[in-house]
Amino acid sequence: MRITLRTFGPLREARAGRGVEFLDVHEGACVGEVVAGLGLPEGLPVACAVNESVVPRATALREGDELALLPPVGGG
Amino acid sequence: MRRLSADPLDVAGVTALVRDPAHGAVLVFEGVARASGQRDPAAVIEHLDYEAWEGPAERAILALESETEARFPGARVRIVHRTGRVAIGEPAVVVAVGAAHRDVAYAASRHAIDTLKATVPLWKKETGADGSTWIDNHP
Repeated sequence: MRITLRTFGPLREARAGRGVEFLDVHEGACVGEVVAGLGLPEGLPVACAVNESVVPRATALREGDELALLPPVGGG
Repeated sequence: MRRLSADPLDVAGVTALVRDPAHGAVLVFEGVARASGQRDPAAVIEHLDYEAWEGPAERAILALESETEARFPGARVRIVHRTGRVAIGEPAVVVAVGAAHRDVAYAASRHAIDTLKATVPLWKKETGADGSTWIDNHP
């Protein structure tokens, strides 16, 4: 199945600046599996949101979901 | 009015939105791009870049305005934040508060900027002579 991956700030740069990508993942894949497979920089705490709601890593993904990876915020 | 702006912020325009005959206090906080680094105060910073999760950030700022007004009855709060490149000396965020008295205005302003920095999905990168660094507000 296909999901949308959105990344921001340092995580977007770690993904070659793409920001929005489409990923093919296996049926029933959970958030934690997908994140672990991305090879993200270590030591950066990352919150995960599915369809704009922050969720635990064990959350199962569904076809068409948007997974957003959120590094610590830095506004202001 | 949109709460995220890719253009320089209109401080007077935002402030005008919180003026009211009932308001004896109008307080404007500007968070300004600083020439020294956040982590390394000796670093010379040339500009900042802000990135937003646009829809959620816009809605988070609107919700923060409402939550602050509910927490401090009588206060009116308007907040605008920059995206994109911000030159040193330019405001990156404006928090304008109008209230009957200064105590409420100061408290509401402090609450609003502290909550924005901790929660709104925005990311900041400092660029100086030594390169670029993403700066977060994580304690």
